[in-house]
Amino acid sequence: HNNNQFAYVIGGFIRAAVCQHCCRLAAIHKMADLKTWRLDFETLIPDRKLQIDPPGYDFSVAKDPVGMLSSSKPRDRNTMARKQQALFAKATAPLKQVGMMCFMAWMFGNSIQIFSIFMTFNLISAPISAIMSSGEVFKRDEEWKQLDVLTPRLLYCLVHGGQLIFGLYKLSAMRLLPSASSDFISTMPVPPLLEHAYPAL
Amino acid sequence: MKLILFMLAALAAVEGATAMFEDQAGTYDWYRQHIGLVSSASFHPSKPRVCVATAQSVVGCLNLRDGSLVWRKALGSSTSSPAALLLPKSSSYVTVAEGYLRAFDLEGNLLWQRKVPGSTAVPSLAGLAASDDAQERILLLQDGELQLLDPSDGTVLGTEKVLSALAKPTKIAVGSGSRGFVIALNSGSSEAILVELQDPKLGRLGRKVEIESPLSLSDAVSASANTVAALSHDGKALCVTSVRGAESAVRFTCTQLSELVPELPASESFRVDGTSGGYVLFGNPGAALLAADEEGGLKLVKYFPAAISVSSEIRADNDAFFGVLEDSAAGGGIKLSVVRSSNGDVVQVESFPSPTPSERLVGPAPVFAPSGLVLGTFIRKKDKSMGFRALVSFRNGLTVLLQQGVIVWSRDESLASITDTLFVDLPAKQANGTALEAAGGLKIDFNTRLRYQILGAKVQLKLNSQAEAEEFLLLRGALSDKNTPFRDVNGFRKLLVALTSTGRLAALHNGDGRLLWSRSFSQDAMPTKLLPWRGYHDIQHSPEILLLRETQPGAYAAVLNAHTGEQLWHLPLTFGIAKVVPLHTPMHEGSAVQSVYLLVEQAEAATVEAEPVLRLLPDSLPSRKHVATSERSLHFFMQGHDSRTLAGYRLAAIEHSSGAVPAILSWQVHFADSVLAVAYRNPTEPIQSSVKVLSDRSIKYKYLNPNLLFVATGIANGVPSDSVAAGVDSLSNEVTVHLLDTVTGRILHRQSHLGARGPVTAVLTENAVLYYFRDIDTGRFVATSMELYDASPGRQFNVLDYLFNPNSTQPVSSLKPTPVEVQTQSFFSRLVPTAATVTRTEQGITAKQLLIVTNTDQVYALDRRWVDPRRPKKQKLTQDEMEEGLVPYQDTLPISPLSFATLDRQVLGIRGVNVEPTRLESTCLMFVHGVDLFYTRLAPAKGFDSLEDDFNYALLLAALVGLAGGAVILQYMAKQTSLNQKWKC
Repeated sequence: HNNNQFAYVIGGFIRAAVCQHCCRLAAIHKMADLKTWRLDFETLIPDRKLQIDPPGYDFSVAKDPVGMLSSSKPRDRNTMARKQQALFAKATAPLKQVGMMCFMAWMFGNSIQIFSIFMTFNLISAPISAIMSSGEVFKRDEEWKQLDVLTPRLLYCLVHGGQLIFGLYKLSAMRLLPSASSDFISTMPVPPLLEHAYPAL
Repeated sequence: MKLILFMLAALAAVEGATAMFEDQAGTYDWYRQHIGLVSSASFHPSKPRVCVATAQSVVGCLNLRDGSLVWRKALGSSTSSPAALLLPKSSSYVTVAEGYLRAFDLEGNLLWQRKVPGSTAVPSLAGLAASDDAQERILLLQDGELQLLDPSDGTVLGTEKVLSALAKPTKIAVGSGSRGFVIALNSGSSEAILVELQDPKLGRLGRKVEIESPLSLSDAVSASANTVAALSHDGKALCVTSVRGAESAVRFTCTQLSELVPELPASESFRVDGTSGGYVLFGNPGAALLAADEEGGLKLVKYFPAAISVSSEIRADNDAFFGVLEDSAAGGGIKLSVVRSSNGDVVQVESFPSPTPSERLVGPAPVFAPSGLVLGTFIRKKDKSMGFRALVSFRNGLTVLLQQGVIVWSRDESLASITDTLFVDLPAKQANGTALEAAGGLKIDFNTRLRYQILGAKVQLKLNSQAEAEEFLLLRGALSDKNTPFRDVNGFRKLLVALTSTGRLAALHNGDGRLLWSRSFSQDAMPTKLLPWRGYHDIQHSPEILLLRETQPGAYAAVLNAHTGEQLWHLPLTFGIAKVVPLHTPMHEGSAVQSVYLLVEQAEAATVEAEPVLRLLPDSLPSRKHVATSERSLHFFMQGHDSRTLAGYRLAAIEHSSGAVPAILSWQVHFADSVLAVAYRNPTEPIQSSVKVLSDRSIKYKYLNPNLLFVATGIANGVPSDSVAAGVDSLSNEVTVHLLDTVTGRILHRQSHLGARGPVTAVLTENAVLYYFRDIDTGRFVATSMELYDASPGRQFNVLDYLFNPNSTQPVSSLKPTPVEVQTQSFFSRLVPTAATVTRTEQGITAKQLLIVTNTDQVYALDRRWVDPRRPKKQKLTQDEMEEGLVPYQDTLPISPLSFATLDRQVLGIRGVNVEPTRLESTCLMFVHGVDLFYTRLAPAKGFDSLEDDFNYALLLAALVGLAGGAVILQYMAKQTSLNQKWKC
């Protein structure tokens, strides 16, 4: 029995050794395939298009993992809801930032200084540019046609509009906004006079 | 403490406008010192000084070597020349003016002064020369009282009532013989009084003798050793009396001049000068030396037919001489003869060339008519012999020293008597620029420019030596374009045309005050007014100026080309001009802008009460049409039949009548007290806005009626009121100010200041009035500021209406007056003002400064916010008030030494301040003229729209090149470092 056991262990050793050898042989065999997957300095020139995929990379699998799993493409209602949620999250994301900006502007006070002027300029210019570029942020997805983009976009604009209104209020508090009639009158010409009396003293 | 800090900060912010750095002195300003038109002069016998008294009431001494000023003092504000006397032994210059007798030493230090009692008329002054047994003495005659004073300290040694019965000014003459005596006589009377000096050693006055004359005597009186001579009142006879042993009353014996000197032509103004042995009679032209014997008999010794001036006698080498100036026939020069007065021998004859001015002369050659000649002596270094020198002053303001056949120096003093000035545009460079000569001087090449820039950088970094700083200043003057005779984009370079009382019209370059051209007028064609006539919008034409001679006979209007001084036309006027009224809407004729004037005809003496008659200048159909269309109804106002009355007139329709236009009296205001000051707004003053917006954004409409007249009335200046003299009730003196509408004569506002007196100085600008008066209790000057606002109720302003309705600003009429709201506030002033004006800029946007002429002959630029009537009476200001730039109220106006527009200069005897806007809104030009001239550039709110003229472009360029080079080097270094770092790992 002991001998058997010993033989079994020895046999296992041998098998392992043989197996290792076989593997090494297989690897050597495979090396011949990898000859084409080679990089040198010339291939690193960016203009040269040389597509080399890593070993084991299957383009078709990488492109559509769902398709690999299930050949048909059913629209998953769950995914859509998550996408919608993500859009709303994106729309309300600047809220915190806007609040922070307004708080900082309030902290700066209404005096006209270089910092408060920068701040107020930023307060006004940032929402305008954000609203102008909101179309880029909330792009209509061609594959998810029924996804609602407009409402989150409006919400996004609303949040930025809030900042804009605060900026204008700030400008008015700094008296840089021509809102009173006296702001238009200062260039009012002197009314002409009908009679002239000249001094002959 | 906080307040003081705040005030200091505000001062630094506000008052820095006129301040500048030491090295900027002379960049924008220039200053000329003058002494005035010399009326009397005397050489000091041993020291190189010639002391003069001038018609501008200035006395001073000149350096005999080069004619430079050693010292000078203004003795008063009057324009009469003071009596002056140089006492050689005590080396003092004794002057009398405005009630004070003063003695100065030869360096200008005041030795003593003494109040002269009596009236303000200039007293007669004479000196008794020192002799072996007598001291120098001063004789002073005032109001019939003769005083003998000690020149060392001014103590009165003796007093004598000479002619107390005669109120008219009296004259004195001092005999030059061993017996001193004084003759006092009254012009036009036939009596004279002779006073002997009983004891010349003590200078005591003695017996007085009355002398009668068969003819009434004039004030041309003189004395020789033992006789006294006076011209008769009609100027045709010379009356002489002997005073030798005058124990009893003696009489003048009169001889007709035609008998005495048959060759002498009749003259309006003969002059008699006593010599030791007789008299010199001078009749311009022609002079006669007369010998007088001891009994008073006269004999002609010598006649000088061509004499144009005669000096008084001087004593030298135990002999006596006088000088005779003659026109030399050849070459138009002058000839000086020195004559021994005992026998008429000509001791020395020298010819001198005519003085030639450096500027371009236009028109007829100037006439060098001498007004005074003073002879002096000097010792020649070569052979120790005696020579003669002479100081000649000419009527055109030139004073020259003649010696040994050359003009040693000359001083042109005519610009000390400027009466009118005008700023005119210079020619454009490409147009008729050849009319004015180019600036000479240093040759400017690239090396000079480079050197200038290097020096500039050195000075800026304070690496310079003293010599380099001086060279920098010299180069800056030479390289600066402020002196080129062409107009510039900013309108800084101008031609300054000045009219003087010597009949000279001079054009100065405002960059450095050099004369570009000048034109002289003869005595009987002297213009009295200088006005703008025609300007052009194109650059081909020169601007034209109008000269007026207002008085008859010889009244005329003449128009000159301002760039060349050529006379374009000359129009004799058939009437005298009382007033000139410039109409402020100019007439446009193509590219020309024509000024239009109304001339108020001088009324005949009999018809003073009649209404004035006016003429239009230019009197043409287009000008009449222009006046008729631009002025719906034309009014003017002038002083009424007495000084307390103002009268307003309305002009009859001007369009169809030709020649004289009658005026119709429309109102008359009679003030209870005499008028102390009037002020009105310059009608051409630009006003940017008709409203004032307060910090709470409420609107206040300014009251901008151009027909507003400020009148201050009160007790006339110089009249002591009884209550003031008694010191009882100072409150009964009051100054009342009135604001009048000059179309209707309506008084819009009136306020009184109790315990106040004149003199009142006032200035009216935009809707603000600032006036100064004297407070009797504190003895200080008070500045009261008024701001006027339209107080019509329910006045609304609609933005849309204003923006889109072109007819939203309705014209206003004086006949439909609006109520006035007056805000007023008073401050004590440390400055004593004599006149005031205001800065003026192109558009009127820049904050204005008030220019206050002080009694110290300076001009102070007072910021308007210091005299804002809304200055709050509390120390802690609110945010709104600070935003409006209000300063907490203080009872005394601050005085900042940096705010003097005249910098550290004293412009002696300021008579006028002329402010001209430039094309840069921030800047205006100021020319101050009196005896001295001062010009500078003012920026009332600092130069917010331009770089400084001396901005160092080289330093900027060097900095830019340095930065660029540094950037390139750093980029290279950074690349190298990063490469090294990459190789390392």
